Amino acid sequence: MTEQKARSDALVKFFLTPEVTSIIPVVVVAVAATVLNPIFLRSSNLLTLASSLIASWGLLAIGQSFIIISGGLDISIGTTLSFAGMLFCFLARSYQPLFLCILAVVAVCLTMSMLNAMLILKFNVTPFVATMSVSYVSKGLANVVNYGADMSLAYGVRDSVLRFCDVFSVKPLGVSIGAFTFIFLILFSQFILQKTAFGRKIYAVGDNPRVARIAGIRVARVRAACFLISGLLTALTTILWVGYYSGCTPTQGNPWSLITIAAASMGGISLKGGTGSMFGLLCGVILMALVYNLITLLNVDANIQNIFIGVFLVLSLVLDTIRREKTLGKNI
Amino acid sequence: MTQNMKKLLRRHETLIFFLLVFIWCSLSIINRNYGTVNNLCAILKTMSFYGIIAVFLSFVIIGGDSDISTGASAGFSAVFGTALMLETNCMGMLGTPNEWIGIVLCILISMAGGLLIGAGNALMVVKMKMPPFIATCAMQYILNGLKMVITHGAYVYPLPNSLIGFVRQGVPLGTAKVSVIFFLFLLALAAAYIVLTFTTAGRSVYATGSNRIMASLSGINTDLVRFRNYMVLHAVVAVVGILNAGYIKQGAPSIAQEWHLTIMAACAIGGIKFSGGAGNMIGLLIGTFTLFSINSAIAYIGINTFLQDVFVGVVLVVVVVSDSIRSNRKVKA
Repeated sequence: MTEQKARSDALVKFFLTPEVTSIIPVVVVAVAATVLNPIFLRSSNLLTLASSLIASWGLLAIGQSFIIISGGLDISIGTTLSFAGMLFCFLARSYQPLFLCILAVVAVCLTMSMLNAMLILKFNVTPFVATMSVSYVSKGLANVVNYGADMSLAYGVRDSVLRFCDVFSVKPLGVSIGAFTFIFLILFSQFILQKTAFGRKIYAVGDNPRVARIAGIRVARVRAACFLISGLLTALTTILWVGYYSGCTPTQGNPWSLITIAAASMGGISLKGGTGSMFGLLCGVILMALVYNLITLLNVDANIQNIFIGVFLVLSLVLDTIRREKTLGKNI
Repeated sequence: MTQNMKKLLRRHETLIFFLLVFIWCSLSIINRNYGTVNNLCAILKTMSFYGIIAVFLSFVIIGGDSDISTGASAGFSAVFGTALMLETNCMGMLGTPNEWIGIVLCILISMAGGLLIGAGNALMVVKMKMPPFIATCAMQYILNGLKMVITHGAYVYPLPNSLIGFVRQGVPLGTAKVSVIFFLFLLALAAAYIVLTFTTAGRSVYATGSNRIMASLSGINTDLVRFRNYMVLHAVVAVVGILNAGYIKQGAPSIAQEWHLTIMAACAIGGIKFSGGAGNMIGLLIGTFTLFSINSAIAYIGINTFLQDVFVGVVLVVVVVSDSIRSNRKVKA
């Protein structure tokens, strides 16, 4: 009897692993999409999906995951992307050389992420409040750059910038460079998280900071490093997106902060920190992208999209709770 | 005496109060129109819509949770309540002297809807143990969607005249008038102050927020406290939503959509601790007033109005940092 119970327990645990629980809805949504609208399976649709959605907030979600696993949260990465993107366009349109634009983007993203880290780690501000304050600053600055108007890189810029944007019209295998970067970074991050001492420290810090400190891990330093990684990834995403889009709008990334959190949470990265993997995140990102795509293809009222996303978020959170109770045996 | 003075000077409210005085003094010098009754009344009116919600959000935050679906909830109720008035002709009393009874009935039904929304949030946060921020974020998406389903994005109008008349009235003060909404805000503040300071219910909110396990061990039903916080918040939010619709004379789907962060900011500047268990209503009043004084100041200085967000962000950063420095000092002492 005990053996049988152990086996069924193992089965339950298997189905509750983040990868499995997030692959199932991916498959369900994909099948539903194919049945409901055959256009879904066309390569053009899938490739656009990979090039635009996944390459934009998918990349951001990797940085967000690092922060969440280490026990933090960042709702300012989207607005930081907006500001950095607008600054890139502004500098480019002022005939500044390409390297200066890129340098400015990196500087802005790193400053914002370090500001977050300082507020949270040095001054003990709740991550939500700290990043909310920073998101106000970057949201405002993004609008200040061009008085709330969009900026295009199609004209009035140096040749180097034009050539830079041209690079992104090259699509090997039909997908944008951003999508390749995303896949590469997922694999690389998974390697860091699983196979390096630093990666294991991130999990330890997120799971129980006090125990981690007693075990000799410099908690604040690990957490700050996670913010730094996220800042670098935000900079990379900004550069890729601005190049792909050949311009930027001041509200470009604002909704993406929450979408990345939702994707991470659906991919089994618990918002309580310390668990989750990059393959789970991959499933979460694909799932969110599919849901968006399906809703668009079904010609559903754009407003009903919101309801779907809300319901999906709730479902992912319920799953997270069940998973924690079953697999970790933790009474949270 | 000097000890007391020192204590008073170290308080969060004092710091914010000095900031407020500084803003008003310097802005009055920069622009003669800033320090006038007209501007004061305009600020009081705008801040009161946000402030009433902030008062009841404070209960949730002091109780150790948070809620970012307030804006969406207000917008939903604004559309839902006004559509209800329009469809039922104020329960068949439109145009009669009893019109206000119909309006009150419609508001009560919306409040019941608000209670349901609050119960939904509380269910997710308290019973299913989801992180409050992300659970209410989901609720925000759902409400924003539902709101559009009701009206298909159209504006709901014309609204009954007695509703518009009620919201837009005020007590004359010089050349301007103090909006009735401000008095509702004061009423909410006073009620919240009394409940938080003098009643068992209020003390149990603080207890739940500062240490939930200790609170439940000492016999407080913490789940009940947290459910109550959420439900009361959203019932009040429903009323504010409808009042705001009345003020702009139509149930616009865009009402309050972006309010949640501003309301959070008002609470943060007002000294309501996001870690739970601390904060008071006097601080909240000063904080809300300061936040909206800053917003108004940006407009009066005549610089890029998009700097409003930046300024609010900077003030938030300064406030939370100074708060943490002071609480660290207290721990050491």
